[in-house]
Order: sequence, then C-alpha cells, then structure tokens
Amino acid sequence: MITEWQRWRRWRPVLLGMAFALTVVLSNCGRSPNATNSPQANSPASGEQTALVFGLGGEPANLEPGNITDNNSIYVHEQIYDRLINFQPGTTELEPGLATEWSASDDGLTWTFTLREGVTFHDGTPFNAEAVKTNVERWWDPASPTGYRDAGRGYEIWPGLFGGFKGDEASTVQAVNAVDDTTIEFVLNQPFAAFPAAIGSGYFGIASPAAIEEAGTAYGTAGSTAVGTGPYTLQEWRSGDRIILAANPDYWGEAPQEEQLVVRFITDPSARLAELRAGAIDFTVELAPDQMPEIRSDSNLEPVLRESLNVGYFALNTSYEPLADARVRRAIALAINREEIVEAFWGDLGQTDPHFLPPSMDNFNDKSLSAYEYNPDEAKQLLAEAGYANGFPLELWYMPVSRPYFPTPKPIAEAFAADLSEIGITITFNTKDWATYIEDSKKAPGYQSFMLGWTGDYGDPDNFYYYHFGPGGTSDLGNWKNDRVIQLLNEARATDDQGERETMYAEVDKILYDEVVRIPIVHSQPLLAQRTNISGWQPSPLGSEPFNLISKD
Amino acid sequence: MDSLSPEKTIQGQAQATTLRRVYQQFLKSLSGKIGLFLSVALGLLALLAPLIRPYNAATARDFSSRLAPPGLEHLLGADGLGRDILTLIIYGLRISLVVSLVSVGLGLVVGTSLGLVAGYFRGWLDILIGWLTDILLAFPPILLAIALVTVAGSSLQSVIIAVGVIQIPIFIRLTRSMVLSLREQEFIQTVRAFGAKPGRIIFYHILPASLAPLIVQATLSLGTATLESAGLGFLGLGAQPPTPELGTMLSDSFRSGYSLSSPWTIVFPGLMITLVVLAFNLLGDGLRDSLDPRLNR
Repeated sequence: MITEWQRWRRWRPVLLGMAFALTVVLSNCGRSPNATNSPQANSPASGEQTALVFGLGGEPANLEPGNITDNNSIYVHEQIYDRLINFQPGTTELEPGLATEWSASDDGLTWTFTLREGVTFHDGTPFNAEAVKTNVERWWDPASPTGYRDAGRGYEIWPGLFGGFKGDEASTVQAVNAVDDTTIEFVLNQPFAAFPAAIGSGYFGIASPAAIEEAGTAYGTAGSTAVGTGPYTLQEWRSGDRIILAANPDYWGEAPQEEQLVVRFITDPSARLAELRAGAIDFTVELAPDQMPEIRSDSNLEPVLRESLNVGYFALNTSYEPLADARVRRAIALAINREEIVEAFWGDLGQTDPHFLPPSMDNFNDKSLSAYEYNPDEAKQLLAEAGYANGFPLELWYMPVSRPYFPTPKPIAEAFAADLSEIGITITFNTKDWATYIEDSKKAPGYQSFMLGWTGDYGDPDNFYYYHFGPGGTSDLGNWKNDRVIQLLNEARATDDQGERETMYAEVDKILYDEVVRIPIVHSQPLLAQRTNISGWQPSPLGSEPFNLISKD
Repeated sequence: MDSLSPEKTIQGQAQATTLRRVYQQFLKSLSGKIGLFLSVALGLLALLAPLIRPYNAATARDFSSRLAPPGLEHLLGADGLGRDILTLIIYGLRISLVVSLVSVGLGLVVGTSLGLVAGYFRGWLDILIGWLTDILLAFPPILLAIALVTVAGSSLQSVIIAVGVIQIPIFIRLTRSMVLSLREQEFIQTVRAFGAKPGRIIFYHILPASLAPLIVQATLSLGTATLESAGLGFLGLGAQPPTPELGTMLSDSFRSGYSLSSPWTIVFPGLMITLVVLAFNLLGDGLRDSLDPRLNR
C-alpha cells in the first residue's frame, strides 16, 4: 500500500482522490482473485497435490504449546500437535488422544493416563511417558532446563488453569511421574474432577523433546520448527503471510484428506470473505453477523455455524478510582443498553443474559438473577450517590481484531461509548496490536476498561470462572479478589457431585452479578463460512478443531 | 522616509494592475471557476454544518435505522450505528478542511521562512536547510506521516502536525529557487544599494514577488493534505471516534464487513474526499493559469 501511494503521488492528486475511493470499493468486491492474492498463493507446487486453504483471522503468537492463550495460535497447534485427551468432533465430550485410558484414584488426587503405543513425532522421536513429562515440566516447573523462562517465556495459561507453577501455594499439580514407558501419573494437591479435560485443552499439545532441545529458545517461532505428532507437519511459516503444512503420512488417527494445508493470516473479516468469494481460500472463521446476507447471496458459499460456548464481556478495572466503587460499576451496567446492542450487532446470532457462563451451562447459573435492564436514570442516580454526579473520564480499550465473541469490536465500543456519555462518562478510545493488547491488559495498572471474551476450552464452568476469577486470574482487574469466589471455585473443582457443583457455581454467579467487574455482554454464535466444495468440517464448540477430516472436491 | 513613499505608490499601483489582470485571467479559466465555486460551496457547507444538521457525535446512534439504505429519512443512508451518513460526511468535511488548511498553513509558513533564509543568506545556513529538506524528502510522505503520528499518539493535532511537516520541504525548495533568481535582479540590487536591511528586503520585496507560485502550490497542497489525512484515518491513525472523519468512515465500513452489502457506507465518504481534492486542484489550476506570468499571452 505504501509503495502504491508513493507511485501515485507523482500523478495529479485529483486522480489520486478518485483512485483512493475506487480502490477501496473495488478491492472490496473481490471478484478478481489476482487483485488480492499473490500469484503463487493458490497453486502450491502445481500438479497432483491438492491444498486446502484456510483463512485465519490473524497470525499465531507462536507454535509453542503451553505458551499461548489466543485462538489464532490454537488453530495451528490443533493441526501440528495432539494432546493427551481429544474432544469428539463437534462436541465437548472427551475421547482418547495420545492417552487411550485415564482414571483417578479414589481420593481424586492421582490421575493416571495410559499412553498410545507406536506413535512417533514428526522428527522420528518416539512418543512416550518421558516425552509427556518433559513437556509438562516445561509448562509447570520454573526450573525446567528446556522451559527457557530466562528468554521471556511466561506459560501464563498454566497458572490460569492449574492455580500456579511448581512450588506455588495454589498449584493444583504436586508431581508428574513417568511410571513406565506408557504410563504417566499426575499427583495433585487438591482434587480436580475436570483435570483430563483441562490437560486436554488446546494449549497443551505434546511437542517433540528432541526438537525443543535442538531449536532452543527459538522453538515455535516463525523461522524455527514446531514438531508434534498431529495430522499435519509444519513446512514453512512465512511471517505475516501464511503457514504451510503437509499431511503427516504416519498419523495414528484418521489420515488428512488433503495433502497440503495452507493457513493464511487475513485480519479483516471483509477481506476474508472477499478471498473466500474469489476462491482464494476454501474456508474461514470469525465473520461478522452483518456478512450473513453476503454469504447467502453467493451460491458458491455456505454459512457454517459453530455451537455457542463463549462470552464477550466489558471489564472494569477496580484500580481506577471511580471504578473502585461498586455503585459506579453497577451504573455502567445499567447504562449500557445490552439488549439493543446485541440485537443490532448480532441479530439472531447472539443473545444477552446476566450470566458469565454461556447458556449451554445454564444449569450452573443462578436463575433468579435478572439482567441489568437499561435504565440511564437509575444509573445517573447511582453515579450521583457515589459522588460522580458529573460523570468522569474513562479510557475504553477495544480489540484490534475480530474475535468470535466480538466480531466487530470498534463499532460495538462506539455503541458502549454513546450509551455511557448519556450518563456523563466521557470515553476515550484506545487499541493496540493484538498480542500486546492481551499482554498489557495484565500488566499493572492494566486498562481502565476493556473488551475481551472467552471461548470454553472444555465443557465445564470451571474453565470460564477459574481463569477469570481464580487465584491467578484477575491481574487485569487491578487484582480485584473475592475470597468467597476463590473458595467456591476450589471446592467445586474437588467434587463430582453435580447437584453440589450447581449450588456452588450459582453462588459464584450471584456474587459476580453484584460485583460487576466483568459485565457479560453477549453469548454469540460464531459465523464461519466455507465454499460448497468443502465437506467434513465439524466446528467444535471449543473454538478450534483439527482439519484432517476436511476434504475438497 | 520621504524617499521611500514614491516607491510605495508605484508598487501600490503595480499591485492594483496586477490584481485586475489576475482577476481577468482567472475568469477565463473554466477549471478555476468550477474550483472556486466548489471550494466556496464546500467551505460554506462546513461552516454552517451545525445550523444545517445539529449533531452530537458523542451520543449519536440509532440502531433502529442501522444500515438503512438511502431514502427520505436518511438521504444518503445510515451507517453501522444508525447514524446519518450525510450528517457524518458534512462533519467529516469540517474536520478534513480544518486539518488541510491548518497543516498547509503550517507547511507554508515554516517552509517559506526557511526557504527565504536559505536562498537569501546562502552559506552554511543554506547547506543546513538543504540537508533538512533532503532528509524530509527521502521518506515517502505517507510513511513519514505514519511515523510522526505513531510517535505523537493518535489525535487530530498530531495528524495536523504530521501532514504539515510533510508539506514543508516542497515550500522550502520552491521559495529558495524563487529567492535565488530574485536576489540577483535589478530591483533588489537597487533596494540593497539604498541600504535596506536584509529583513526589509526579504519581507517587503522578495516575498511579495514570490507569492504567486506559493499561492498556487499551497492550493494544490490542500488537495494532497486532504488525501494524506484521509489516508491516515483509513489506517486507524488520527482522529479517534466518535469524531467523524472521512478516511475512518471508509475503513470502518470496510472492516466491519458491510461495505459490499451496504455500499453507501463507503461510497459517499469516498466521494466527499474526491470532491474536496477536486475542488482544491481545480482552484489551484485556475490560479496558476492566472498568476503564472509565463503562461500569460
């Protein structure tokens, strides 16, 4: 774009003006594949080989298991790595992955996994209990020699789901033992009924220990390697552009249908849909509900809906003085017209309710709660009581990329701002690069208020609550802590009794409702699309899935 | 003092004749007339916006008319928040005109001053300013603007400064070349022989004589400045929401995925940008036709 600009500058600026408007409109039509695509893009190594091209909403942060939190990374991890436990396609039910069987001791403190035999990593290293142990220690043990923590690795998802690292008081895990070649054992400090599901979540792919050692601190970055046991092997990562994967002929599970998988990074939903229409990509994710008519109008495309298991929220940081007062936070919840906003931006593809948990987990919610109804007058009154009758300035951070829960963050942020300025809160908007956005939200003092969301990693309320409100979970809220919530979350982890868990989580729901630190805005049904010649795609409610079952006619 | 008054009178008379000639020439230029008309019309529209369409950017939204197509209620349709596109582009025009006028003003004043100094005094000052010009010209203008806005933080002020800075070298070069030829001419030599101080020579004699090309260049620069500020807005730099900005409107429509299903959200802001640039360029053309002595008969 920049070089274009330069060339044009020599022309008369009039032409420039017309060209500017025209380019935007035309580039948008996406009729011509050549206009938006480099020539070598779609015809990899022309010949017999068939390639499946996937349009991803952004570049992965890295390809290093355990050191990511974002879905764009997990998408690629799913293709390269396997986890101990898999999820049945399209559901949140567990099924064997690299472990064929798993069971807990009677006290719930020891989990034993029997590993699959005869599996090798892409580099030929055999897969065994030692390999699993090495991987887990990287994530969990700050002293692990291959964890390279001194090179800046944080593995922050680990304490997010398992309380803390080795040696931390809140750590769920006490020890990891390779009992024999095909048996791995996790000893826990406290019972955790959903442990297999948690260790099976998309972050924890098992990587080749030999490859990690060889690549050292560069492992998993663009230009280095990423070696797993998954359906595809990494061929090339062209930074800023694409990742090219090849089918793994020795895959232990169902062999990939296509020989090559190309993952292209395309940030704008408009651009993704335009490329899909042009046939430059075969299937894509995270489109905006507003694009539904456009998908429907093209006979080569079909919309694909992912089952909803997410929450998009608006977080209020209590370390910012006005927000330390719960009345002010409640006023904000009352001032934002969630009903109208969700209806406008999602239509049929989203719903709003007072709960942080998605509707499919409704049995864990406190059903007596009713949503904060839009009521600017009451909001103003609350603000006045709290001493902010004239409002206050507030920085609002919106995400730079479309996520399943907030497909178009900026206009939604503008809608919040318009609602909030009615009660005197003046908003300044901010955003930054996606990776930094997430990182900085967790660094003190964090953002005053920000938009973010969560897609379930496994089908248990624990995953939604523990990560956001557990012992390691609220650095982005100015370390707001509620001891009762933490206690309830720990107790609910320990028991298998469904009735008890429902009561405990309902209490958590009620406390969070009163505290309004993360205002649930929407539970959305993510919109995906594929070309009609694609078959076998079964989107997982967990937000990503391996593509080995997808074929292209 | 007395000795200078005849000089002034002669100059005054000369100016009056020149103005009359310029005016007649300008009337002969069709593009000039169209440009002048468009510029005045757009200027008035921007000035009177609050009277024509009262609007509060902070609280404006109306989801019931979200993405409404052009019609009686919304002449040019409505955007993703249900805001009237016509209103938005009129206010966007205001912002756009302010940015281009102020930034070109900045570029003109700074660039011309440096050019005058460099051209008149020569020597190490000229070399220094020459280097500065070269450095500024070495960067593609939009890249330099992006860098400046990124450093200064996204706001309307930083866009004005960034767009202003990238105009500076053009004015330095233009002025310096004018000064170089003027300072050797007889009327300047004469004034110098009378013992006039450099300040007086520069501001009373050289500057007025080099005004014509500067005016033409400034008018043309208004067009580029409009485009550059819209370009920055499109890239997400510059005026932050809810300030309506034409370039930002384009990218909002594009990024939100409804530019194709609701084309009015992108076409009309684009047309407004085109119209502004067209107006300034036609006006600039007309001015050049009438001001440039080499083009006269």
